[in-house]
Amino acid sequence: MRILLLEDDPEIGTWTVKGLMAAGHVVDWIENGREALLAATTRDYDVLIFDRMTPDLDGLSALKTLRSARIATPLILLTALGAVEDRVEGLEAGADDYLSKPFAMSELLARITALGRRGRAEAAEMTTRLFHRGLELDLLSQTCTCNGQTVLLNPKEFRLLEVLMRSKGRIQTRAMLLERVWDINFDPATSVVETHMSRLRNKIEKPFGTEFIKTVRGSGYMFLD
Amino acid sequence: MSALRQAIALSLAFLVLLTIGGLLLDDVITEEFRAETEAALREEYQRISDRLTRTGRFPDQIVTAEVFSDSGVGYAVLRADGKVLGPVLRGAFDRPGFDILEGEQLFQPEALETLDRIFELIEDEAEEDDISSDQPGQNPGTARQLGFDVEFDSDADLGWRIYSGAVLDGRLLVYAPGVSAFGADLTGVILIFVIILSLPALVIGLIFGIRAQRRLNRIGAGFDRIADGNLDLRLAPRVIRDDIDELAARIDGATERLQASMRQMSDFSANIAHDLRTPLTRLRLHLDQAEDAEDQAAHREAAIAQMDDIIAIFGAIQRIARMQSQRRRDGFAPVELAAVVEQVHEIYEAVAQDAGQELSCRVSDADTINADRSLIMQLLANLIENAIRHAGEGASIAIDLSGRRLSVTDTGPGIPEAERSRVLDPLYRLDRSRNTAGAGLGLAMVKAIADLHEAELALMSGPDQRGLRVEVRFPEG
Repeated sequence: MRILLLEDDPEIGTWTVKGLMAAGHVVDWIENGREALLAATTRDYDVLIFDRMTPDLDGLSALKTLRSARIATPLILLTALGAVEDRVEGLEAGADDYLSKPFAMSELLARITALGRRGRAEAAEMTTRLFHRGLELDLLSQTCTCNGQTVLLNPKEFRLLEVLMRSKGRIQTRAMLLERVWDINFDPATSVVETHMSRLRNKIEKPFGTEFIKTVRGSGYMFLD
Repeated sequence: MSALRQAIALSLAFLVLLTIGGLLLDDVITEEFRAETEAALREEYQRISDRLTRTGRFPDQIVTAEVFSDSGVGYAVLRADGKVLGPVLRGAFDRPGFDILEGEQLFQPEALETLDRIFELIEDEAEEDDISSDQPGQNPGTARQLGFDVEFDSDADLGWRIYSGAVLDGRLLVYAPGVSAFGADLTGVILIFVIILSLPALVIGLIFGIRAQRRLNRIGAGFDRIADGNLDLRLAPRVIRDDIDELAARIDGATERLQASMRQMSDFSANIAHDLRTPLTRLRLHLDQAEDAEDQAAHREAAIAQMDDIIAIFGAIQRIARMQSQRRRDGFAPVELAAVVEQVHEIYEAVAQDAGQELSCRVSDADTINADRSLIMQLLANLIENAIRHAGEGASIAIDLSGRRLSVTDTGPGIPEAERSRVLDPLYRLDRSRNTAGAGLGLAMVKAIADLHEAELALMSGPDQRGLRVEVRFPEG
């Protein structure tokens, strides 16, 4: 994917660019808000990554300008402030996702992948049925069957499986799952995700002897394609 | 000096108003009196003129001493032969209609003397009347000759009002004491009143002003000392009597809150410094060993885990600080407590089960409150995580929601009463939990969220004096 990175700190910038390139992305790194705005309006990118505090023009203002110019390229806002209000402010200004510093490269990569696919996945959102290797989710009746056998899932387990199946082949980090499945914006001190994940796997994997979900160490989980 | 200035200004304004009111009153009364006198003169003139016309001739004589008739009006006649009947000078007849004349211009010298004597008598009698006002006067005849009971100063310049016109072949003139005498007198009275009133008004104004000023000065000086850092100082008196006391009490309230948060802040800083040392030391250790150890990857992972801990601590501190400093309630919206409780219960039921505990949930008559939904979720999650972490295996944890009262009760070891208020401070940890995970921010966060929602937070023992019960009561409305 073509990615524009706005980040004024040289060390973080270098590290981010290196990580993104290692994952196969093409990155333009700009350290100044005004130039980033210019680049975002004149060139074609798949995903924009803006730091909130940058010289000349801050990331948030640049984002607002972009959105008012009807440029809808997916954007992730990076910030050193992690409070809920900042999050809300960023999302209201038109950011598609929000990541507070310091972050793990795996988290950023997972979120970029999720965003980059969003445009294409949008059409699939309308689907009422998710199907993969004998595992089937009926989104209307909220039922799950595996090889024709009904699997009883509680609503949160169903939602967890739905999120994973929709992002087949892409990593979902713990934080992403907490947001999407449980609507939690803070970092729980207990193993909420792990607990529910192991219960889900006990229901869909153990009885059928198939591995659907892969644990990616240090990053999160992935529904195998 | 604003209070003093205000008092003086108010007193002066009062006096000015009083003077204006007095002058207006004077004017109105004078005018009224003048009209009345003129009407009486005209009536008397008409009566006498009718009588003279009826008899067809002037009387031979009008006694000089008989200055006034019963109506309070005297009269004189100028005959066609130029002889004046009555105590009046010839010249007084010159102008027809109403006129005002001085005593010397109107009366013959001997009549003037008689008048002066009469006035002296009236004055004496008035003085006696002052002593025994019920008794009739010593010289009723003379007094009644005047026809009215208004006291006036004999030294006062008496203006006389006259009315003259042609009757038969001569002229008739009627006269009565004019208003100018009473007018002058009334103005004097008002002036005296103003002077007499102005002194007490000013004095009372000054006393109140100085007292208010003194109290304000005291508050001002106290405030300066508070600003200099003397946060123990309190300004309000024991009994609140008025707005100034109220103001002082408010300043006291603000000082107290300031003092509390200052104390908390300094404790907080000390705790941060102390508690961050542990993960930082471990981090250093892992980095040190990673160099030449065979299991480099393990050390690296452990270092990252320690780092994540530190970041989590900072994140939580940041959130608490923000909640404490800017009491942002903009994001508040109606939140169904029952829905939040259900959701959190759903999330943690399995987690508790895996920890060998039981999480139950009871909801009755739940209310909808104005709140930040995600913060309420975090509050409840923190309470439950706290219970899961510290209550131990086999414990049962109960969420209870009734109306606006939300509580989490566990059957664990509880918290000693003496330490219950301290565990709400950021980074405070019981000694026995020093070795469990966590930084001691969970309850502090709960406290900050409760404060933001103006909810009451209470820690107590669970049923049978065992375990811990944390109760949050959200305010009405």
